[in-house]
Amino acid sequence: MQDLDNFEGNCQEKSGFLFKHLCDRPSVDRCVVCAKCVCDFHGHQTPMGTQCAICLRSRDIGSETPNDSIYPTAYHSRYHHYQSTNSFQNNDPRVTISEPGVDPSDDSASNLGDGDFTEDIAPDDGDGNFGNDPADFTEGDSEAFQDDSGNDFETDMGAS
Amino acid sequence: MREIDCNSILNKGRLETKGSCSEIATAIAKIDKLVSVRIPLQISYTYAIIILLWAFSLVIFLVAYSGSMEKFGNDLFSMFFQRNTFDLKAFGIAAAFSISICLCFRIFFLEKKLVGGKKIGLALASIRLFGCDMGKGALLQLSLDLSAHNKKEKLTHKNKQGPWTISHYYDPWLRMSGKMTDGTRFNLLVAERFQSRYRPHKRKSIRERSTTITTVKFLAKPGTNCQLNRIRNKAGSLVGLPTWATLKTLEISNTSLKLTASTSEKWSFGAKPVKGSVDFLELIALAMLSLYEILNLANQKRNA
Repeated sequence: MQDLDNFEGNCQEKSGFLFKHLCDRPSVDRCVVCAKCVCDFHGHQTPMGTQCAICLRSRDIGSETPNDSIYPTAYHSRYHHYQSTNSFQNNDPRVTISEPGVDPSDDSASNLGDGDFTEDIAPDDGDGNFGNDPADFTEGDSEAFQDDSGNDFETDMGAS
Repeated sequence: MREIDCNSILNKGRLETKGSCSEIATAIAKIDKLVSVRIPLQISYTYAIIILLWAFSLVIFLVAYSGSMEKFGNDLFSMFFQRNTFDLKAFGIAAAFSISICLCFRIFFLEKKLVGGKKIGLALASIRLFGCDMGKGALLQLSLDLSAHNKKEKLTHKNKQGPWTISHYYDPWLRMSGKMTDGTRFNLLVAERFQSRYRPHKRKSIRERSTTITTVKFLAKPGTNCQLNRIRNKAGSLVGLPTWATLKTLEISNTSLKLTASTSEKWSFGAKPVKGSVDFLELIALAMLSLYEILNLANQKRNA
């Protein structure tokens, strides 16, 4: 039988968005199926009693995704969908790679204090310009606006 | 972390704090509740009181004065200026009118607090998203600017196009940084780039456009010797962003990754976005997943 004493006091469920890791919340109950300690986030009330997310999923109760509040799985499937249909090329000019050893964006990562803003990550050139943006006002707009024919703004957006 | 005073933040329109992720999330949730539930409720109540006061005044006016403005005016004048009589009916109408004016001011000030509703909600959703991979007591630094995007200090420059003067604003309203349990540090920036086109002559006209930009930056855990530049040929194919967003840049260096994407769509956030708008949290989540996949690949290469 699994020794649960080592984890007594802490939730034993693994969760996370980018990577799975042990939950560090205090446990409040045990899963009725696998006897795992679970916190109030990871314990789900069922007619049988409290169950952990894994046991609940394995029983496939409905189409419910019980862990979504702290592990938004829907974004993972959407990521894989968009990534597979991605038209982004590796030699795309938008990808900029600094030379090995040169790291302009890194102001010495080892010196960062916990949670400090490392730098101003504003994506502009310091002047509020962002290059060519499809939403920018253009010369074409200027001509279109000469005649105020009552076109609404949304129509003008298409013109640019 | 010192206690966050929700009302003072809504009055100032700015929150800058550093503390544990869960504490900040609780404080922001409180502000969110205030903005999305309590203040709209207070506004509704105030409108209801104004309507009741006006109805009360109208009934007295019609019953006691038979709708005669002259009679009512005379009574009011004699009560306030000649001060020889006290007319309860005229006083009641005047009092109801004065209170309703005060309540209109109250609505005006309450509505001013509602400006950052969407911003607060997205900030809270982002904290919860990043918080999934942060430890219980992990520190989070947050800067949230709820003030209007077209404030003077946010004006970056002006230029002319024909008869039009275009004002360019840049409003970096959400900044967040912290460290995940695996040692990866992150920075998040959400900014509004706003253009206002104004023609002073001929027929006056103002037109506006805005783009919302998000930048997510990951710094690999110091000392892991994560060689990101070795995977330069594959990094692009790991990016997966929603079709309604435009990738601006993906910057890769030895130890850091930075992805900038933008959208001109109207946005909301969460599992059920408002009809006709996109889920902005999806863009942030997918940018995070894209960068983390690249980091993972770099680590796999290093271990291989």
